Amino acid sequence: MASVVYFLDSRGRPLLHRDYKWDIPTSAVEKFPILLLKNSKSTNVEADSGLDDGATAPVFNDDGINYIYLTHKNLYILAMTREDANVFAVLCYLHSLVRVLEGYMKSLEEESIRDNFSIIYELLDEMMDFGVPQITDQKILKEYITQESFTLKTMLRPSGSKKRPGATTVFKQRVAPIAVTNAISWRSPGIKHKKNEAYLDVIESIDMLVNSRNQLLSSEIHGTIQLKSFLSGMPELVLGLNERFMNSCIDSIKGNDTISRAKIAGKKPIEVEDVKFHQCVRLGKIEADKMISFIPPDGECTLMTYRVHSPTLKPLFLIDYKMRNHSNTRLEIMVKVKANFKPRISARRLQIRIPVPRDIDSPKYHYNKGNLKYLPNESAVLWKIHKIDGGKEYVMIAELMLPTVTDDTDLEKFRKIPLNLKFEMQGFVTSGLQVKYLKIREPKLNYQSYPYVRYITKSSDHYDVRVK
Amino acid sequence: MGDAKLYTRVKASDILTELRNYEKKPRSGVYQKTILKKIIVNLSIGDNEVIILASDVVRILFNMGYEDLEVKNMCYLYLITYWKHCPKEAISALRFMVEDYKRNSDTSVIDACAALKTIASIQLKAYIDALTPLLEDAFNDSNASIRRTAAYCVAMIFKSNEVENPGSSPKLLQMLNDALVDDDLDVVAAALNSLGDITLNTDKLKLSTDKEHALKLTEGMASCQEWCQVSILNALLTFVPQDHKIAADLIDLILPYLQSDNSSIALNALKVIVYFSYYINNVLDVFPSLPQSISAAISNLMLRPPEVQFLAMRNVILLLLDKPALLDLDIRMFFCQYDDLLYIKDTKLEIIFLLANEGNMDLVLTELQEYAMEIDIQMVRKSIRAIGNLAVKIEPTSEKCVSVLADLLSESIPYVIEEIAIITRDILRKYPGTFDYLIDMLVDRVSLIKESDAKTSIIWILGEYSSSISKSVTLLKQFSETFVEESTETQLTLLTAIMKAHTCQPYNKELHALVEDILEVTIVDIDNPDLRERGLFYWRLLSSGLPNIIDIIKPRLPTLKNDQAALPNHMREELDLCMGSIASIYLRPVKQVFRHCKPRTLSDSPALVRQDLSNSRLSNPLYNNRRSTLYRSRSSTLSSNSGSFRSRMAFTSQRVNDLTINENNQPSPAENNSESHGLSGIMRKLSLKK
Repeated sequence: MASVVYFLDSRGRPLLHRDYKWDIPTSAVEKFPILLLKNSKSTNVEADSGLDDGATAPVFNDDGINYIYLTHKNLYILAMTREDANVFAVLCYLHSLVRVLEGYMKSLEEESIRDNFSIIYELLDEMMDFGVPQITDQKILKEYITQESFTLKTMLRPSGSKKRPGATTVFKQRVAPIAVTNAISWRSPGIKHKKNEAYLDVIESIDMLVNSRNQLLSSEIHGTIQLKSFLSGMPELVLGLNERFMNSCIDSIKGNDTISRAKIAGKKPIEVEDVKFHQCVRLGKIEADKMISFIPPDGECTLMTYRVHSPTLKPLFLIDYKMRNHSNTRLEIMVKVKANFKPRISARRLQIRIPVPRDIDSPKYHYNKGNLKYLPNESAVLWKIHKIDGGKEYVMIAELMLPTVTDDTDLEKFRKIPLNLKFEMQGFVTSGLQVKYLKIREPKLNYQSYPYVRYITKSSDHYDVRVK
Repeated sequence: MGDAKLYTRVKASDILTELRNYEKKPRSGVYQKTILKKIIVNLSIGDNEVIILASDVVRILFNMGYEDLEVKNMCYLYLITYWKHCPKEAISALRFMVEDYKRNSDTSVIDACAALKTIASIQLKAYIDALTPLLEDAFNDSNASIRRTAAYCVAMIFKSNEVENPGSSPKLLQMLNDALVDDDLDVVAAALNSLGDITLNTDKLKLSTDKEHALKLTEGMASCQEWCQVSILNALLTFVPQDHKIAADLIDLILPYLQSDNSSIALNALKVIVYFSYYINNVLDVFPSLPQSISAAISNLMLRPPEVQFLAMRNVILLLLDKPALLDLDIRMFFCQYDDLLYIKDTKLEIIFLLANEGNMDLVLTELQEYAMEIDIQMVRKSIRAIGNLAVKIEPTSEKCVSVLADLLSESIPYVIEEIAIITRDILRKYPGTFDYLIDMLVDRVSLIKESDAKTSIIWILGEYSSSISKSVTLLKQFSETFVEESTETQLTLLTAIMKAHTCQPYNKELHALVEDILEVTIVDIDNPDLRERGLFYWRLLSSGLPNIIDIIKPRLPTLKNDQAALPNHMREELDLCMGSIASIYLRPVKQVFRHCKPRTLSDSPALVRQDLSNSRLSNPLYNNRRSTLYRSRSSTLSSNSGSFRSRMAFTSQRVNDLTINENNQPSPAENNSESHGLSGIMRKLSLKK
C-alpha cells in the first residue's frame, strides 16, 4: 500500500508529510512538479502558473516509484509507493483523508494545514498503519482525537481558558472508543438526548440534458435519503417505502430486469439503479420483509442512495434561446424560461447561467423578473429568479458589446457551452418514491419520538440546456 | 491560536539559543512546547538542520512527555524521522517508549498503540530486541486495537531487516499466523495485510487461505470497518477454490459489495468476482444477472470524483479486452462532458472505441463527429483517429465512418486534414478500391498538410496509387523540392514512393528525371546511412535490369486482416488478477512495471476453467490487429533492419522481397514483438505520435 503521504502546495512544494514505510527517498517528491508537467497530455506545456490543468493522469510512474495524487483546492495530496499497490484503495483513502480533515478544520488549504499541523500528524497516524488505511470515519475519530482544531474562522476569537500552562490540548478520556472495536462500529452505546427526534429528508438531484428544441436527451435522478437522528440508546428504526419503488429497488439489487416484470404486471415501471445503503442497514431484511431496518448512527447520515432513469420525465423548465450577432460588435441574447409544472408547485432560487463570450463590455439587460449579473471570470450572465410558480413564463434580453478584437473561435466556443440551471423545489420528488412510515423503537428505554419527513427536488451539477 | 505564524524556516542554531534562554525561566514548559513546534515545522518543510537538536528533543520528551500528549507525539514524530542520524539519542529514548507502552496498555489504548508503532518504526537493533517481547504481550492483549497494531508492527520489522535478526522471525510469523484466527475480524484483516506484505517481496513464503477460513472471512466481512473489508477482499485472492460450488457460494456472498458506498470496496469486490469466475463452469449460466450487477457498479463509479472515474475506466478497458461478456454497459455513460478533464476525455474515447459496434454506430459517430469539431486540437485529432480506426474495425459500417471523415475533410481545417491523411492510409489498404474519393479530396487539400506524419502518409498514398491519381507526379515533384529538409521517415517514404510511381509508369519522362534527381541527392548529398544505402539499393536494382522489378519495389500488399491472435492468455489472466492495482492503470503485466515483483498467476485446481468470455459484441482480435498496425507509422522497422542491410546486399530476389516489404511499412517481424510492449499499445493507440 502507500509508503508515504504528502501534502503539497500549489507549486508542488511539500507542506507536510507522514512516512509509513521509509522506502521512498525525498528526491522523489522534489521531482513531482516536473513529472506533472512531463506526463501532461496537454500540448500547451508552457502553461503559465498553475501546474494542474487536468491534463496529467492521477497515477503515474517514474523510476520505480508510483505517484498517486489528487488535487483539492490549491493543494496536491500525494501518495507514493514502490509496490503494485491497490491503487483504488489508496486513492479512495486520499479522498476520505480530505473529507476527514475538512471535518476537523472546515476548509482544507495551505493556511489551515499550517495552523493545525500537529493534529494533522496525529490524524495521519491514526488513519493509516503501515500504509494500510484504518479508520476514516470522522465521527469515530472525533471521539478520541479531540484536540481543538484551529479553524480559519475563529481567528479573531480568543481561545478559551486553559487549564494548564502549555496545554492547548484538551484530551478527553484517551480510551479507544468502544466503537473502534465494537460490532456496531458506527454507534457508541450510552448516547442520551433530551428530545428524541428523527428527521428524514428525501432529496433528489436531477441531471438533465435538454436540446435546443426542449427535447430531453438524457436525464438522471440521483436520490439520497438523509437521516438526522437525535435518539437515545440503541434505537431500532424501520423505514417503509411505497411498494412500487421498493420492488424495483429489490430487483435492482438482485439484478433482475425491472421493466419487463413491471410491464407484465401492467404498471408504470420505475427504473431504479445503484441502490446503496449505509452500512447500518440490514441488507438481508430488505429482500425478505421489504423493509429497511437499521440502528442509525447518531447525528447525520446518508441512509440510502439510488439513481433513477426516467426516460419519460418532462423537462422542468422550457427554455427558448435566441442570439443575434450584429457584425461581431454587439450581441443580443434572448432567453425565455417557462416553468413546466403544475401551478400549485413553485421552484425557488432558480439560477440560469447563460454563457457569453469572453471580455464583453457594458452589458445591458431588459427583463421582467429576478435580477441579472455579469460574472466576468466565468464568462457568463447569471439570471436569478427567487421564486417561479408553475406555468409562469419570464423573458430577459441581454445586449452585450463585444471587445474590438474578437476571435471567431471564441464566439463559436461559447455557444457550445450549454445553459446551466440551478433550482430547488420542496414538497415532491420526481422519481415516484414515497415514504410510508418510519417506526422508531428502543427496546430498553421505550421513549416516544416523532419522525419528520421532507421531500426536496433540486438541480444537480448538470442540469443543462443546449442552445445550439 | 493558530500555529501558522510558527510555520517559517528557522535556523537550527537560533532554535538552540532560544531553547537555552528559556530554560531557566518559569513556565518554561510553554516555551519549550512552542520551540518543539518550530522544530517540527522545520522537519515538515524538509529542513534537516534540526537534526542537531536531537538530544534536546529527547530531553523535552522525558520532561514533559508524560503530561502533555501533544509534546509526546511531536517528539515521537521527530525520532521516527531522524533516528538514522542520531542513533545514540534514539536509543536513550527507548526507555521512555517502553514505559509509555506498559503504563498505558491497560488504561489508554491509543497511547499504547502509538508507543508500539513508534518503537516498530525505529529500526535499530536495540529497538527490535525490545519490541519482540512487547509484541508477544500485545498479541495476547484483550483489546483488539492493540492486537491489530501488533500485527502491523511485525510487518514493519520484516520490512526493515529480514536478514539482521532472523532468530526472532519464526516466532513473529507464528504470532501473526495465530492472529489469523482471531475473533475480531479487524485483527485478522491486519494480520492478512502484514502477511501479504511480507510474502510480497520474498519467494520463500507464500500466503494461502483455506476453504473454511475464506468462507468465514467472507461471511464476517459485513461487520468490520470499510478498509478491513478491502483487505479481506484482497486476501480472498489467495484462496484457490477446489470445486465450482465454493467459488459460486463466495461470489454470491460478495455480490452485494459491488453496491458499496466506498468505491474501493466495490472495485475490489469486482476483482474477486472476476477471479472466482475462473473457477466456475459457465459463470453466466450460474449468475445470469452478473453483467447487470457489474455494470451498475461501474456506472456508479462513474459518478465519483474524476480520479476515481479514471481508475474505474482503466479497469473497464481491461475487462472489455478480456471478458466483455461480463459487461453490459451503456455507451452513453462514457460520452464526454465538455468540462471533463483531459485524461478523462482520453480514456472515455478509448472506451467508446472499444464499445462501438454495428448497433450503436450511428450514435457513436454523431458523438465522435461532435468531438472532432471541438476547439481542443488534441481531442479533435484523437476522435478523427478513432473514427478511422472504427472504419477499419467494423466492416459493415465502414461506409458511414468514411462519409463522416469526408464531411470533416470538406471543412479544410489543416489539423483535421492532417489527421485524416494519416488514417486514410489504413482505410485504403483495408478496403482497396472502395473509398478512392477520399484520395481525391485529400489531394485537393495537400497544400495544407505540414506535419511530418501526415506528409509521410500522403506521400505513401501518392506512391502506391500513383497511376490513378492524375496529379501524382506533380505533387511528388513538389514534395521532393524540400526533400533535404524533411525528417528521415518522410525522406525514406518519399524515395520509395517515387520508385513505386516510376515502376508503374516507366515511360513517364518527368518521373524518370525525378528518379534520377532524387537518387543523386540521396547518394551524393545525404549523410544519413539508412537513406544513402536505400538510395544505392534502388540504384543497383534499376541498373540490374531484372525483369520483375515491380514485384520487388511495389509488391501486392497483403490486405489488413482481422484474425490476428489476441493477447496471449497468460497475460490476460495476469492482468485480470491485477485489477484495481497500479498495473491495471498502465495495462501492463506486473513484471514490466515492478521488476522485483512476483508475477501473478492463476493457481491450478480441479475447478479451474478457462472459458471464453470474449464473445460479446466486441471483436477482440481486430482490436489487436489495429494495435500493431498503429505501430507501423513509427517506421521502427527500418532502423531495426538497417544493421543487416549490407549483408543482405548479396541478395537473392526472395530476400529482397522480404526487405522491401519492410520498407513498405508492412507488419514485420520486428513489430510482432509488440507483445513486449504489452498492452501499452492500447494506451498509445489513440495518442499522437510525437
